[in-house]
Amino acid sequence: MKINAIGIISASYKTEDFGILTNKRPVASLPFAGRYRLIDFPISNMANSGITTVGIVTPHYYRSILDHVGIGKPWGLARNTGGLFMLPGTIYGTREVGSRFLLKDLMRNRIFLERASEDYVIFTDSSKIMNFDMRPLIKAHAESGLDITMLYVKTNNQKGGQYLTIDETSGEVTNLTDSDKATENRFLDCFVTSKEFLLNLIDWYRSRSTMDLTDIFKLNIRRYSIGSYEYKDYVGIISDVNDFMKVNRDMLKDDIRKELFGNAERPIITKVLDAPPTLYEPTADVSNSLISSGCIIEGTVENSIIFRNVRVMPGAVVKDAIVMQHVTVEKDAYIENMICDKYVNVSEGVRLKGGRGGPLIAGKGEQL
Amino acid sequence: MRKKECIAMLLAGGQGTRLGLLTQGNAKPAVSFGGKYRIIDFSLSNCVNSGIDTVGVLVQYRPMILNKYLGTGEAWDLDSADGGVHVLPPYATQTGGSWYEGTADAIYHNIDFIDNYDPGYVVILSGDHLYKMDYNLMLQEHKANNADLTISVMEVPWEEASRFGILTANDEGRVVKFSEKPKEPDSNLASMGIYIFSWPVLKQALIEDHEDQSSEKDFGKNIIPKLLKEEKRIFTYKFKGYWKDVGTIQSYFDAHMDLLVDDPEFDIFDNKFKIFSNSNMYPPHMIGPEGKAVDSLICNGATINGTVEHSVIGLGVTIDEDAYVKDSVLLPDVHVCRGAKVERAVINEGSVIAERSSVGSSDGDVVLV
Repeated sequence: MKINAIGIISASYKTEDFGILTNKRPVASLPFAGRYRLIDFPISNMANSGITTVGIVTPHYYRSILDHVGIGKPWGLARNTGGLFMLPGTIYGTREVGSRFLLKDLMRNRIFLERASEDYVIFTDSSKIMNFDMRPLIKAHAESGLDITMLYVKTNNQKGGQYLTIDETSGEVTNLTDSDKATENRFLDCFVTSKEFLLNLIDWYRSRSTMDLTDIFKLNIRRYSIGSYEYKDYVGIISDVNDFMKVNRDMLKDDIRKELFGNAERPIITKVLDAPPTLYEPTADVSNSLISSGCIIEGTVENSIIFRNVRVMPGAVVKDAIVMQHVTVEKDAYIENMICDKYVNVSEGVRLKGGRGGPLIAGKGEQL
Repeated sequence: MRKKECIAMLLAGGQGTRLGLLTQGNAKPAVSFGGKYRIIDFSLSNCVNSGIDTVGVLVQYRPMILNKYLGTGEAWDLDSADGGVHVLPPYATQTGGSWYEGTADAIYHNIDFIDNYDPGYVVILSGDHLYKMDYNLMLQEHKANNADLTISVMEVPWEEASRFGILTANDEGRVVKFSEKPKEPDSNLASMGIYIFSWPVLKQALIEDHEDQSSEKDFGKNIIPKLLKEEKRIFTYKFKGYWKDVGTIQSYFDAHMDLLVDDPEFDIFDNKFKIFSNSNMYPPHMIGPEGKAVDSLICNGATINGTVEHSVIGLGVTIDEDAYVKDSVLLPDVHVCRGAKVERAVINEGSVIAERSSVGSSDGDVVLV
């Protein structure tokens, strides 16, 4: 069913918390769970919710986004009416680190908003792993008559992000803070507003274009009517390398994997790369691992996420690791608590192990 | 429409009765193979790898799954505006309609389709063979021989020659005799059912054959003997490499086991001659904490909590705790429940093997469920 909303996905924010993994790629195109990229989740959620016009605000290094998303064909967004739009973002410097919904980006792409015939706009970032039916949220917002409705999740794990103070009786947001021990309502960097409100906002704040939309909400918390909507299902929030490791490892749990990927009505879709099945040689010893296609496994793999076309040679051990596309772990090598980016080669007999502070990371193409 | 040098016509209408259950609701070319492929992928990939960008797929028997699978042809890069893959079912005309009565009849009814591309040559293919072949090399020989028809052949062991359509050629490779399953073969060159025709020659032969009331309208039985009789220039093209007709349960099973040997002759991992398939949206497969998989091919979406040895496990297959699968082929979406045992068996798409039940045995014939 078509829905009266368009979507905007922010892929433009920059963060330093992923080390070399985000050196040449935005957080949005971080590879995830063996065959996906983070941005697959917001695009799939929008497409599965019947949204047929989706804009992606591009980051500085957007080659990998364009390569992955293309014209949106896998998501059914290569359309004559609506479809997928790339909205060139403006954040290049470090000043706006952490900014997600920059007003300037909307101003530059105002025509995208003006041309849409839909009345509502749903915004998301691209660092939340969730299978989210957005229709009830959009419906609730439309029925409420409020200016904005913000999505949040209750969590006691406060790290980064913004938090909502919510009036118990009205459900309206009375404060928006960076970190607040008084509330466990973490904003999920997702909100709904009307196109009309948004266009007004662009006009009102024309001279302060480097502000983030959420800053503007905060500044006007008493003036605007801002509702809240609680998300109750699984959500993996990825704000640094340790989160990335943890949320990937969450995918080894049957219930979470089924909730995210087992929903026939709302499949998480990604760009297809046609690879053969994975070959397990007689010497393979694999347990508790998520393994993508096209791999050749001759060694040991434990508690790990293995992407496409990875080779684990005889005697090699891969433990508690994330191993991305086209990595080779040579004979008798040993890696533990480690992330290998694409095309890494771990040479014969090399032993590597991450520390207590977090995983060891090998950058794209490194020869170890 | 731009003129095409060579287009392919792929015969995909056969029922494949010898595959039993596997083709009960599905045309043979659309039967799953290798866990994630369908049999037609191999011929289509050959076309693409040979640079043929226009393929007519002749369908008749239960084409639903095949139609859906082919889609726009995008998966094989055959969704071009100028050519691409076209599904060609039987159709009605002012004088009524009819089924495709034979392989030649199917092509006869699509003369207009072929003329539309005005090709110099037409490759006729079966959608049910497992092999990798560059049709371009065959076309070059066809042109060098100034041939009207080139038939791809393989040398088979003499003792097996009487099971095949056998071609006898002279020193130049020109065919002098064609005998279907000869009792006393005088050659061991078996036809692979892959033909390249110069289109004007084929077109005329099809039109004449259509008028012949006694004809069965079959390439092997009618068209080739007819062209031989007319002394048309028919040549053999010797193919060396892996080729398998997967038309029986045993050969279908054997072809899967061939994928599991060391350095398989038919290499699905070879990037230079890739096998394309219309992929799926399954997540990667999961080997559970107690799961075990060795000497096997496993596809996306599978969940392995039991033990898998020397088997091919299709997309979305579930193998529960304490279940044991050995020397078997599990097609997509099979569920082997807790404690069940599967050995030397082919399990059809979507089948459920009940808890603690047992299918097949280590010494019997291959079982199909």
